[in-house]
Amino acid sequence: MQNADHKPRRSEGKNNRSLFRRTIFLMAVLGVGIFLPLIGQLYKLQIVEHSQWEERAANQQTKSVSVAASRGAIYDREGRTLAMSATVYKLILNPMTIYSSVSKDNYTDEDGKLDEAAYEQALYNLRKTIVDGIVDLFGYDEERLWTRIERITSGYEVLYYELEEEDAEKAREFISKNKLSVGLQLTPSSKRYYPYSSIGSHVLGYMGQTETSGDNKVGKSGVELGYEDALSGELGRVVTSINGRSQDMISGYEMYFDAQNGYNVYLTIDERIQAMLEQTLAEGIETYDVQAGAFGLAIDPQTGAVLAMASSPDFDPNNWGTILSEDLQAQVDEVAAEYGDDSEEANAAWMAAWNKQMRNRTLDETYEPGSVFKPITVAIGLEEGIISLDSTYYCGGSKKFPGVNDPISCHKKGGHGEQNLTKAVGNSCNVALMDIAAELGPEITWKYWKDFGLFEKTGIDLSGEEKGIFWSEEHFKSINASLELATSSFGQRFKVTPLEMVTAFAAVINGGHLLQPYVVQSITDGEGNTTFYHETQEVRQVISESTSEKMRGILESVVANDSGHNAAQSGYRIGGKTGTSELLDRKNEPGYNNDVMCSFMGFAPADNPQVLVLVVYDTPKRSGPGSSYTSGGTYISGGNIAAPMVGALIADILDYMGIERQYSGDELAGADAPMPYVVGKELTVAKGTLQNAGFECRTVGTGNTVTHQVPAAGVSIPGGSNVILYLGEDAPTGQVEVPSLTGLSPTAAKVKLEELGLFMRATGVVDFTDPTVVMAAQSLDAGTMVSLGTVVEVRFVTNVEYGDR
Amino acid sequence: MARKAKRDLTIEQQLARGPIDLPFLALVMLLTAIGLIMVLSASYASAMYNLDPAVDTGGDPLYYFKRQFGFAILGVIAMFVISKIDYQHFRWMSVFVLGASIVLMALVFVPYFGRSGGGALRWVKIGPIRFQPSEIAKVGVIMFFAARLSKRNSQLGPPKKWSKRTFTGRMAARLDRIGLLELIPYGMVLVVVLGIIAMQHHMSAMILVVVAAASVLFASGVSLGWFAIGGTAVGAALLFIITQTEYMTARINIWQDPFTDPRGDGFQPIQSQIAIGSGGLLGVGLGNSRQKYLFLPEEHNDYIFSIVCEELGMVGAIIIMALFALLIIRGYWLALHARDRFGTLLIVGITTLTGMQTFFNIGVVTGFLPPTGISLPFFSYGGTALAIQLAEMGMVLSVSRQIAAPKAE
Repeated sequence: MQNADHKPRRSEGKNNRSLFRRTIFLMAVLGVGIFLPLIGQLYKLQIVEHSQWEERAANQQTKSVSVAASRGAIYDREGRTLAMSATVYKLILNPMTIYSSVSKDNYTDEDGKLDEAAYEQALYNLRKTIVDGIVDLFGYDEERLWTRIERITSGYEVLYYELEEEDAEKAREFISKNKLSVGLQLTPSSKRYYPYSSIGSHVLGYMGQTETSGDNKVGKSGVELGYEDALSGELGRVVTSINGRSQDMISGYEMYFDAQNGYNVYLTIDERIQAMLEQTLAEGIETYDVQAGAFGLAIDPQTGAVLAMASSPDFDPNNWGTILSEDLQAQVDEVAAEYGDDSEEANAAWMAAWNKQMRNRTLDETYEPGSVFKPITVAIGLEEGIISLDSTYYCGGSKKFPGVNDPISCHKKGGHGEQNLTKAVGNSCNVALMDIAAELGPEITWKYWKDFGLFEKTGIDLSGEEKGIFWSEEHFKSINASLELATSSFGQRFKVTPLEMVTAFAAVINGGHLLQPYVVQSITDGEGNTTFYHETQEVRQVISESTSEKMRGILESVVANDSGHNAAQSGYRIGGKTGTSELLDRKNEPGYNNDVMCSFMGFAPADNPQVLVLVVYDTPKRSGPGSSYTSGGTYISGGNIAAPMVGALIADILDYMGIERQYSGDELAGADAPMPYVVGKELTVAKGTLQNAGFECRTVGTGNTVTHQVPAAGVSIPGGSNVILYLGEDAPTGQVEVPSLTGLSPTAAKVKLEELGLFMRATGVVDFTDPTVVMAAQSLDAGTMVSLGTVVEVRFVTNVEYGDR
Repeated sequence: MARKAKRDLTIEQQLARGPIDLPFLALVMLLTAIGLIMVLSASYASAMYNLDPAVDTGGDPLYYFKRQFGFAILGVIAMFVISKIDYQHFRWMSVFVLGASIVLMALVFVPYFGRSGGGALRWVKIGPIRFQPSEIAKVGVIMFFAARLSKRNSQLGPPKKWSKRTFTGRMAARLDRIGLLELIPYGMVLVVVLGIIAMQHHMSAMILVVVAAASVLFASGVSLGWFAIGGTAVGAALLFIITQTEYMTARINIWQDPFTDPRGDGFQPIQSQIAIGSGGLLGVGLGNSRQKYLFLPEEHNDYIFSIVCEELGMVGAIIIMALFALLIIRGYWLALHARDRFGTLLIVGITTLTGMQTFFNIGVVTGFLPPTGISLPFFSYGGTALAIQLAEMGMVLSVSRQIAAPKAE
């Protein structure tokens, strides 16, 4: 211990060993150790994350300028342009580069002192040039533009999204004149035009921005959405390499990716038929004071091609952000007036109105089909051989179910009495249908429902489709469901979409083929090559051709003789079924007044259906609580409200399609014929000529030679018309006033018109002997001044009250 | 002076004329050559665009390369000249080198000589030459510490006798026994040198001086306990600085996730990692870097290795790192075989300095370490730094001359 101080602190050898060991240690650490984590880090960056960094590098080292692809057009089946694109320009302001283009260096003296005022002034001058120019050219809000131009962190302020070429040219000139290309840019984009505005809007859809589409507009509904990929084409790009200051590299590479223009889409929709259908909806809504809109479909029952599809209220895809329907807008205004323009209530009301007009109720909503469904039940019975055309049914007015207090009544409280199958359908007799359902039983019923595609979406090429709402299979087939089975036989207490109803109905009449409905017939590329053509897609055969034939017969009889009589059109064999659906799920809504939907499903020609139409009017307004009539006095039912509208529509469609009318004997007499030339002839000869041509005549004046005739020769007027022959007198040249024919029978209307020198072309239910037939509408409003000999088209309906619940 | 015949020389002088270590020389020359090529490639774009306000290249794309090349030649000449000097002379020279470096560092603050760069006064300009005196200070510290520590027990004479009668004497005896007393001169030198560098706000230079000094102390056999204490103190200080100063905290956060400020402080590391990452395994090819086109700042200075990684890929980067590793290993090998303790400690200091500089630079560039401005030996643009680096290599070579050759029969 005491020697501690005298000991050498370390021996030389020990010391050298320490030096050796520590140097070896350093050698290991610095020669090897430190490089290991570095290599690990390189491995991570260059191997593991390589692609990620490479992408980042590519992103910043290249500049990609997109080249717009022009969007394909949408045509109807006849090649009419329903939607097309044109080039417009986006005007983009870049406040960041405007700010940085005024360099502080230019206002800094040698000592590094910034002349603040001069710099500020220069920046202000540049901005003012731009603001004044834009305000001057396009009337942009000046204050707002100042705010935007001072957002120096922003490099992308779109001032205008859709400048037309003319305006773009002005902007281009302004930019080049003032050398503003750093701060203002024009980039081409495209704008969508819908030449027929609201016609077919729900099928076409509209274009708008989504969260992911950025400034680009993409299809947001309808065909625009469903066929977005085909229509949009592919953006082209020019990729150039740039340096860190975003300048193009002197020796940089450039790559071009050509824009691929969108394909053109041809629809099965026919603009004319679509317009007719929309007109029918509008007219019905107007005539019958329909409260909750209407919707309808016309399809080719042989292929499933949708000819027209409409839902009212609708919208204008050119301007989808506004409420198109005046009624809806009025409702919104009312709320706005009460709560204030910007109030939550007003906004909610606007949103609700907007949602209403955007809905395509033919496929995104389900409804109780009501009696329109009865043919399905009957077809099942016929197909299974459980019933036949000879089956008879007795209706005493209601049917009692064990364990249920109130019997289920037929719409005719007194009962339909004894009736065969055809008559039972014609009468739309619920008791008969319940009897049939009881015979079928739930097993068979359920199987056929499934086969008719009622449990599935139809698979139409439009988005937003819903599917039917039914009881659970287990419940329906249980012993407790006899009531459900009974009501379902006449289409109540379950729901399907109108589209499902139409496709199932098509199968009933087209020989039993359940077809997938579609709206796009073909797609062609820019050179006109067809890249897609829709072949008829048969889902399955549901019933046999012979059953289908029987059904066509039954349904033709419904129109010819019974509850669908108002759909009858002379010269066309129309089949169909009426329906009046209860709206029990709206029971608790304010203003509910036993609301119903009145519908009619019609097709023609009955022996070879070319068109199948369903039109549904939602809630015709009752004239008072508990009343069965509209304020116009029409009995509220499918047969009285929808059938006449659909009958007329079908006739128009068939006329348009060029399907000739085949008149029966009676009808032939009323068919149009050309007026012969009888001027200069003796009266007796003229009378003979006219009689041969099917016309009657009356004379004015006293003479023996015809000096003038009304109408002129060659004019087509209905057969049986009473033409006027002038004997020695000039025909009056003045105009006559069209009289009101309201409430008149066909005979009375004809007489009233002919007294004035006008002619009547009767449409609808043309039966001069049936006292129930009354005028429903006239083509020229009362009070219109027309020239002598003008033909006034008058539509007649029977005022028999067709109950068909 | 006429060259004397070998027989006229003393043994000392004969030893000093031994052959220099060729492997070490080859590695130095190889790294210098590759470094020059990379400076040419990396600086090409920024020289051409001439956007650095501090340097007017006149748009000459070879501007940086030419200057670097000139200094490389100067440096190689200096290396050979220094390698000819009998390194025993470095013992006495060390005092002057250290003293001169301290004076020069103080000169930074004299308006006429001092030059600022990167926001801090670190440069001195004498005549046409502009350099950082802290570069010399590193060598000075190594030389001084090596010279003094090589005489640690044997050559410093018998242990000093402390009076046991006085308190101070007893105290001193105790301090001497635990080895603190002998550390005091070194500590004082470090305090002076580090103090001046701290006034220049030159963090990276401080780190390197400490590392170099520590390596010499470590090799010379100073008790590990002191390193533990010193290491703990430095660690605690760093921790305090990092957690308690906003500036450092922010820097650490940026280092951890540069994408929090991709346009600001994160820009440099992100651009560096983009360069490295996009290079992949084989790189985009010599001269084909895209990041050097004004994306990556400091691309020919501290971040030249990013361009190396981008152009030559992981393979090229690892080959260059292997050359550094071989140079370092060869350096320590020479240290182990040096004729005396002074030679060993001198080489250990210089080699450790070179190795740590390499580690710090590549670590920062690859994002493994938080950013500090340490250049890559032989590669980073900076003429005087390269010349001084080569001069240090000359010292190592000088020591290598006196290694006894294995007996050849």
